[in-house]
Amino acid sequence: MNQHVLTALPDQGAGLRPQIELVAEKRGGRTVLTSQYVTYPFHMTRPFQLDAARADVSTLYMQSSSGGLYAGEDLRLRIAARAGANLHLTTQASTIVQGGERPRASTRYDLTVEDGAFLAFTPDPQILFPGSFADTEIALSLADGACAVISDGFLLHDPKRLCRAPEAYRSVADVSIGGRRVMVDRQFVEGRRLNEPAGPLHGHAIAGTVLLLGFGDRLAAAELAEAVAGCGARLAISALPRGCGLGLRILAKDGPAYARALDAAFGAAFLARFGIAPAPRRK
Amino acid sequence: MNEDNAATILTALQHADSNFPSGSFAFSQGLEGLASLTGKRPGTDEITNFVREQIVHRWASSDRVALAHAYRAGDDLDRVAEIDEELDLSTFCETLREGSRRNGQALLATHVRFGTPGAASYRQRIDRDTATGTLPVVHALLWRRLGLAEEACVAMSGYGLVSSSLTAAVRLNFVGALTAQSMMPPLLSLVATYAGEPVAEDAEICGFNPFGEIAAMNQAGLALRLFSN
Repeated sequence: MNQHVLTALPDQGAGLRPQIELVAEKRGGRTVLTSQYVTYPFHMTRPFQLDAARADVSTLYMQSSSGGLYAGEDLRLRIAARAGANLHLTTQASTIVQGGERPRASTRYDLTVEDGAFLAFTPDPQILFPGSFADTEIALSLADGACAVISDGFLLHDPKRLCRAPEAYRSVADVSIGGRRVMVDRQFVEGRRLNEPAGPLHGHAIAGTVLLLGFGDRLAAAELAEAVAGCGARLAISALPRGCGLGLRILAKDGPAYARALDAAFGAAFLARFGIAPAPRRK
Repeated sequence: MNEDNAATILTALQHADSNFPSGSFAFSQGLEGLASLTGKRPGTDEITNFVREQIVHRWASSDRVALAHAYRAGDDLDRVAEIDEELDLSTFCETLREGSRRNGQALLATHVRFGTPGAASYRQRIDRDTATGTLPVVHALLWRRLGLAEEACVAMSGYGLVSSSLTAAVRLNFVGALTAQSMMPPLLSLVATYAGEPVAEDAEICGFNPFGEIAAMNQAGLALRLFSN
């Protein structure tokens, strides 16, 4: 029944340099990259200052130069926002997750947000092709006084319409604040379950989660609910363990509805942190 | 059947019985929120599917796994407390998280009064804020000390999920009592399947139940509700 006994992947790549290493620091009223290492299969744009009223916020677009995630890959990213830095990391489009033999394609994010810093990591949902197994682990360490927005999600895609399902989906977000572990969101589902008429998606093609962490009283559930209302997705908000923030579960029928929900949640967090709405992140 | 086996079955019946004075509040698992989410009163198919989802996509991979790990931890209460915290930290939805804690702690309080071995010392840990008291972990802690096997504890936990969900459906006037009973066998059969499948030693506590969680979170926002979770 549990074909994939739900265990973490052996840490085969431990000790190897991640494919992406970024350090963002606040320098002269801006957030700049003081250390940047990016290698295959990633490409990273230069930092953009998209918010005219907040030039200290930098936005980076992460891109795949390989055409997606492939079976057996074990990719790592290490990103740090030093004290006072404000960084938004997103993608230009969804990433395809390809199927194959031993399909598990792992991506591990090691995110550090220092005191007074802001980090948003809001990628587009991964596109799960038939036979694929997307395995994402995010380890987020926030200092007291730091805040973050983290999202992860997937979109089912069966290009030949053969009713073939992905192999599995696994997504883990493990969060510490001030050195204390405050929550872990560990989602796993066998792909065949997603194709069942009475499966957990209830006819939706996209599922995702947004975590809004460290905002405290600056972001109330009612404000977030108001921001995401009317976006056309089925969603709900919960207070997260240990008072660490708010969480949003999203089910959407299509990409635009999911994008509206994600943008609205990011916008609410941005407003709470900076006092202004964010400029559109063009894609 | 020998006398020992009969005694074990009777112990399980006593402690899984909804009349057991656990002090717990009934769980609806978000069933109350389902009606407002779909905009209509759920019928037997919708309720069965909803409970089935809870079994397959939350209980089997989350509560059941935590219960099995806590059972195997035995008298190592530090390890039991670790599993307890892991389950609490990994429960995304506040109403389900708080409900599990509240019911677990209420059941523990009952067993402290009964003098069940291990109950008082674990209660002290909760009072010192070094343990959480989630329901599946409290089940493992107490039922193991009553001499019940791990598989029986898992089955009783699953029975509790099905029974309390269908009780909630009756109280919410979604279905009648007779209909609720007729809905139980296939759901209990599913529970039995999982109870008969050993939990791997390295199994993670996880789940994937976005629709059920959205229903439960939606329930928390209802102006008028019968169930706290």
